[in-house]
Amino acid sequence: MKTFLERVNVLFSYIIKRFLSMLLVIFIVITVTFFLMHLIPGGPFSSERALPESVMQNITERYHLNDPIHVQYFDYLGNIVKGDLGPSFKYEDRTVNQIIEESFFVSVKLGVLSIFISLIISIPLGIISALLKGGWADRLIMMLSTVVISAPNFILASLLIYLFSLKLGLLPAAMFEGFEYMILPAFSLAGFSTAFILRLVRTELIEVLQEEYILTAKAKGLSMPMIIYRHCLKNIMIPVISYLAPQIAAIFTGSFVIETMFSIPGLGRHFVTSVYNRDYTVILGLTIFYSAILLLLNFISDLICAYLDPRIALDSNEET
Amino acid sequence: MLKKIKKNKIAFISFLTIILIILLAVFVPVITPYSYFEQELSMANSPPSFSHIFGTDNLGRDLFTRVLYGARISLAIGFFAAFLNLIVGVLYGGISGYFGGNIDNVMMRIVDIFYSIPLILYVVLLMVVLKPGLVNIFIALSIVYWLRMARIVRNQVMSLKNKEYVLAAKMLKASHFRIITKHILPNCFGPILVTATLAIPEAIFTEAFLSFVGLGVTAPMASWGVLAVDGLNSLRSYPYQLLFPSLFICITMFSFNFLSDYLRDVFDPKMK
Repeated sequence: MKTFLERVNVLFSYIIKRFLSMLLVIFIVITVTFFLMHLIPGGPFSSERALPESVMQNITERYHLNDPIHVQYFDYLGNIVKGDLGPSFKYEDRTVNQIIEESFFVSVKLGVLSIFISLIISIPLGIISALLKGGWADRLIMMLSTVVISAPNFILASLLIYLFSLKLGLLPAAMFEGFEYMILPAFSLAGFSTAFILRLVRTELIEVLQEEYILTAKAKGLSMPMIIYRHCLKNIMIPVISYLAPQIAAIFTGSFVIETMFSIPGLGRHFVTSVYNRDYTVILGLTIFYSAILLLLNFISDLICAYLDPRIALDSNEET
Repeated sequence: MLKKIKKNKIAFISFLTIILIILLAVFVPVITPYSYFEQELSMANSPPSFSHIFGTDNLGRDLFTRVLYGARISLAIGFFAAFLNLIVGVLYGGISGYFGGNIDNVMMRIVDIFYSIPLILYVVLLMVVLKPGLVNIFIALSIVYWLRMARIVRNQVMSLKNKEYVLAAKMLKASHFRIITKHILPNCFGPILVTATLAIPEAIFTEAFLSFVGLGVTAPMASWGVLAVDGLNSLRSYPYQLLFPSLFICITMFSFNFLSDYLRDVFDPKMK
């Protein structure tokens, strides 16, 4: 048995290690995306309409495009450390930071709502499915979840738009002016995660229900809801939380499509627009921003898991 | 193998569906009198009828024909991506797992690093650099999507390389190449097959996404993704133009997903 101090120590070194590896990954992502974007032949300003020589020169001067590539790279790195992701090439006086400031919280609102929806639906259904394993309800739920996992989100979204706004006229199909505007996009975004978490909960619960302490609990005369609440939920939560970070990643990438379809002024739509416009600095900046957020969330979910199950931190320390 | 599949109804139906779609895609020119680029503007946006069973699009092109030609492109992308995935992933994972130690450490760290960011971001970045087009989609998908395969193969090889029969082969002075190809890889067959089957719908999915952001195949060719996006724009007035391509995408994805679920159950009964 380890003393309390030793355990704190283990947890602490685990946190430090995870944090350092997160920084390393962010650094590599910045480097790779930076050089990838600079591989593109021609500059960001070579368009069909040839610009006058002098204008071209001014622009190159202003954005330091004449500097050798390593100078540009270190400038960029330095700016990122200061929290500045650079200007947009397509929209004159807009910076990547401004774009993020304007649109990030729209996306966060939408994302949080859809995570909430998917948890609210998937956990109860997953539990029901596991308890009635093999029955018709379980088969129906599993069938539906496979259907939802298999359908690309823009198809799910267009189905929802068609049903609820074109045919029934209940909900608005586009724009972003109030809560009712968030319902359809949030459900379209939640689809995949709901099905995924549902399956995860079902698999975990089936496994946990075979443990002997469940039998003990049954023998004591505990009711099934009580057993689930007291003895199973914590076990189920670990995989759900550790998969929540990739689910958030899925919601991020899903939001590219969904925000564009519903014309929601979020980060995802800006990303798609910048890809359309070939606005390289914005693509670069947003990719780095997305990656940083995701890595941070991964880090947090790792910490929560290590807190819920201290063996995780221990194992990882013994590995190396 | 086939006999086993027959026992499971859903898996069998999925298998037949995939075969059917492949056959349709291969024999399109025989099946339909139209071509995918022929425009007949007087017939534009006509709803499904006997002469055009899926109707026509806004340029009067027969939608049924376009969907089937789209199947060629989407399936080609799926299978090709899965194939490259297989080659690169198995080689990389095999080497990493077999030699272990520092080589493994470095190789797997690289995979970990790329894996912590959604792969689709890299695909989009690569497509922006490479410019849209069918060949570039192949390239982008194959550069990115082998990561999962490499991980799975590596873990399998790790657990197999200390088995007695590998030791026996080493004692008989079999070459590394022979040990990997003859003794280790055949035993990883199950997980490799499952991962490869899953890679196909994923590639089709990714291609549909790329079409959505305008990085898909270029006109007049059309994949299912491009067709669905075209249909999306006329959802209000001609919903059938979205319905048919989406239906094909979904059915194909179901079939591959059900099939790989089933394969996983066969090869790894514990996962059920």
